[in-house]
Amino acid sequence: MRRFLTIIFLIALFSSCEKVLFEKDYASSDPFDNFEYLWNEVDKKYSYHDLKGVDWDAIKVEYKAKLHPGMSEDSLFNVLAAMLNKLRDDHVNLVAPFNISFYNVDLTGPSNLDFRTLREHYMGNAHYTGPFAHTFLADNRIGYMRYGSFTSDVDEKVLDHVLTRYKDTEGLILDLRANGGGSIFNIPKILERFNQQNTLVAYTITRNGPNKGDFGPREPFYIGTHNGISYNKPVMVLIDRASYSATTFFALTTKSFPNITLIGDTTGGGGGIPAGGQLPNGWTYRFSISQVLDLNGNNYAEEGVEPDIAVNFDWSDLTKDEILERAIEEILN
Amino acid sequence: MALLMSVPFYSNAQAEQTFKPINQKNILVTTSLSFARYRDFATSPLFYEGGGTNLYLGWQTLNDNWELTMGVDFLVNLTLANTPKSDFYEANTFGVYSGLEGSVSYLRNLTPDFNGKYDFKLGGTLIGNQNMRINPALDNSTLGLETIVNLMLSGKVQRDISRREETVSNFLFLTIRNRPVRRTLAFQLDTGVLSFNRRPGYNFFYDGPVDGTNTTMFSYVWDQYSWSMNGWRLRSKLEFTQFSSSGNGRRLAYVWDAMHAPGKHAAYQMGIHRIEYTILINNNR
Repeated sequence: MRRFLTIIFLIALFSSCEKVLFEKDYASSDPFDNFEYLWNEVDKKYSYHDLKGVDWDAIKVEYKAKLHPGMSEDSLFNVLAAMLNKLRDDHVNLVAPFNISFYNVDLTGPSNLDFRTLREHYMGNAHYTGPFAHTFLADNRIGYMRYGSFTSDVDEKVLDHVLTRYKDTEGLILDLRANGGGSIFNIPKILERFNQQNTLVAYTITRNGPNKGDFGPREPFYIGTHNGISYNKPVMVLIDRASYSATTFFALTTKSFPNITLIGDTTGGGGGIPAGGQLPNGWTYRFSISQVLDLNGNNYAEEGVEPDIAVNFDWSDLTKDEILERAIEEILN
Repeated sequence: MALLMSVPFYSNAQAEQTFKPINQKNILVTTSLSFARYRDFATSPLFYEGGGTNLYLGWQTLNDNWELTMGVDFLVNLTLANTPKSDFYEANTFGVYSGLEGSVSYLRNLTPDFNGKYDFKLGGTLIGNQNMRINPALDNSTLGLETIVNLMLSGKVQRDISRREETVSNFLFLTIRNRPVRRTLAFQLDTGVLSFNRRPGYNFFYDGPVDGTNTTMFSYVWDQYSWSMNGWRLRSKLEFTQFSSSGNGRRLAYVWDAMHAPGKHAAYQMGIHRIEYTILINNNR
């Protein structure tokens, strides 16, 4: 019996032992604990404090005053989300099981895409291959490709097929309007098809210290070349305020390509890469921890990349897409 | 385990069995039911907890003077965040922990007395873990990796609880003949002497390696990782082993393994509890 009791004692001892050895459990639904945690994480790791021109310390005072013990989770969410939205950044989100916060940067500019107009007047015979919807325009003289989201992976076979289809055209239109971003791994896969030589297109820097100006070294971002099927004629890339994140990154990198022209409206921004984390109450969040820089070291892409040719959609005539028409005109003339 | 060690209803005794000195080369195959609890401060202040299993393949040279054990262990656990209770809408995030562990352990018998009841062994253990954790709720921080290497001081006390005489048990109308069998009960404690870990940089991942031509996922997360020599690890093992006359055996064990890897910026902590079942295949008959 003594042996048995000893074994039971040892099992009981070790089954909870690490809790004694580790730091305390920080799980908490207290509004103040969660506020402090989130504020500190953004303070220590967010990458665009300086560019946004936001006084993060003053924001803490302002929003902490809105907390009170026992406040509802919904109210806490609203306070935290409002605090985060002061950063004017759609890469800054709070995710609770019952709601997700967005800044909605696309609403800060005009809408420049009407899917009905596009489908009814330009894409009647469109093919759908992988993530691309594509068709011939202007009596088969132009190829049109719509890429709706960088979250859809680009497959080499898909690109081979699409670019082969349009190899005899005079130019290509790549429509990235309302493309909210996704994986930046898809950027080089597309751009290397339009590229003749290894090209430095941007730099990235990642925050690496507690001070808001602490960043690691500039890391170059290159676009290589593709050994197989490529397209070397003019390419018009359509952008608007809803072109965000990876699409903004894409737009910035096209500035290094003489055969690529940006047409439409300024992109929404979101050049940095967001990292995710979790609060003591289990909600999650994300915010940018890096910056994308142009070749001169400027980080303006976070606020949007301007088009080479600015054109807006005319909502009084839904039979025409002015941005697309301008792209056609640029290729044919 | 306690039931296995107790022998009820002795009725008579036969001649005492003499065992040969131990000289075995065992293949070890282990599986377990496990409970893991971990926390990565780089992404969350919460513990993740959940059950899982493992598969261990090892080799052991075992005699009365020393034992050498080496093997590879694959562990997997499904976990849930230990979030505070909510009467509004409770947050639940799940994670998957998987780990590959390699270990080498050498223990010298300090009291090599074949007829003695107790053996006291002392030696060292080298353990290396490569963890990979998936937490889909963490967006681009979904993938968590850490490498943890520990050189440990190992002590083991082993009690010979063999049945050296044949006994006969009577249970209702059944008569059960219990033959002599070699059995041991052992407790091993490994304490980290040198602890190394490879943990993320200041931010959980780093933008730099995504340079347009080098876009592999692992370079994306690995490049800012660095080694630190800090932290601690403790591992204990309570094991009951029974050998057959062929030298083969089976083992039941309770293992507790706890580690703390502070890294340079944010700590990783983990504790695993396992109920293990091991088959020992003797290759030295």
